[in-house]
Amino acid sequence: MNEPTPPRKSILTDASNLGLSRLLEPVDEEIVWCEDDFPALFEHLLGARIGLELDDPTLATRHETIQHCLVSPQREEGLLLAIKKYAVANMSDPGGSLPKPLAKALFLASIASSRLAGFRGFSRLSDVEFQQGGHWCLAQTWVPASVRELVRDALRHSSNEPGRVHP
Amino acid sequence: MRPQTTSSQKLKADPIGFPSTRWSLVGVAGQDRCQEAISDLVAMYMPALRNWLVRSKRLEPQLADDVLQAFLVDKMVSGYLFRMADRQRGKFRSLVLRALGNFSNTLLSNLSRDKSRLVVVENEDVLGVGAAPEQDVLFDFEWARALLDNAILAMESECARKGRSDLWEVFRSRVLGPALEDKPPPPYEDLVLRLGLRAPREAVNLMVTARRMFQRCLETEVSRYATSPNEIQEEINQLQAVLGRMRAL
Repeated sequence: MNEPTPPRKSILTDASNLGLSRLLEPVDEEIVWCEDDFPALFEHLLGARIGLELDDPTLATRHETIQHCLVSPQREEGLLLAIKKYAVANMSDPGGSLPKPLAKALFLASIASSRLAGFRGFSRLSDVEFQQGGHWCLAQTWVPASVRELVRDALRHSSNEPGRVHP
Repeated sequence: MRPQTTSSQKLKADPIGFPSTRWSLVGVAGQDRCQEAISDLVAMYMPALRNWLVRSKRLEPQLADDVLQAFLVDKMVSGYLFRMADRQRGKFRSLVLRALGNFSNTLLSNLSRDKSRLVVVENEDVLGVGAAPEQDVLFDFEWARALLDNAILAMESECARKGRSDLWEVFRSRVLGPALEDKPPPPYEDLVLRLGLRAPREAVNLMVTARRMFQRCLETEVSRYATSPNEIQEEINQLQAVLGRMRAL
């Protein structure tokens, strides 16, 4: 047997000891992104084509962005429902694409949009629940201005409607 | 003429169905002097042993290489250490460390007397004085580093082989780089711009796939000396604890 050959040079340098234990941590699919990523992630989500992000074959040919679907004056109930369904799936699925808080904000944004469009029966969320959710959404610093405005308008609209019960 | 038996064939043929752990490999190396098994074990231990000599024993790299070379030839390639191994007496790597510690002490003290050359003295008390417990931890640390190093290299090679530079890039920038530099990962936008990602779903899929691939590479490395999923996980947990302990020092 030949004498052993010297080992190749390590990728890990001397100065690289402190965070190494992180590499041995089990894969937690719920912690793919940290909260610092949320603003950029949400902006990216809003700018993504609905057919691409939602991975729904029936929407494959739709090129509208999610932002457009939420705020366009000509909202389509079907698209908003698809966004809501996607958000709900991500809120409950441990291996979902979105962090849960983002999914929750998207869920509330879809309901806010449907309320402004007057789509009846879009959600089973009561006014009180929507208002609580809406205020939670406005309190999140990472929620983009366009979604804040949408939620704020829907909250205002909701409280101005005659016959509404206010908390 | 006796047909040459490879270590893997020998392990599969083990009559008592002993799992192909480090111990079965050690057994093959010790009892039969199977060269392939010895080579496997030497290759597995060499990086951590060298780093331990350089970092913990504070030997100059060239001297560490010389000491290690002498140790490997004298104690491992010869099969001596494998014959001394006893599963009941603890981890094999503790035995190797103790042997190397004693071997290097003897060798270096001889060197200080005869400065012209390294003189290997036969019959030094390889197993006599045990390494201090902190030396065990330091060696486990080097072991963990070598293991991670191999897993990282395996992942990089697999990504290159499969044309998945995107997975390597995601792993390098979001997981490996921050871990090595102990810093938070770069902003999400950087990743999106660098890889031309069109939607968060793409970014998440890449991230999750990359992390799973690394986990698999890591488990494959550990499975070279531990077999059952429990053993593998236990070893990873122990090494993580060692790395965490080093961080705290």
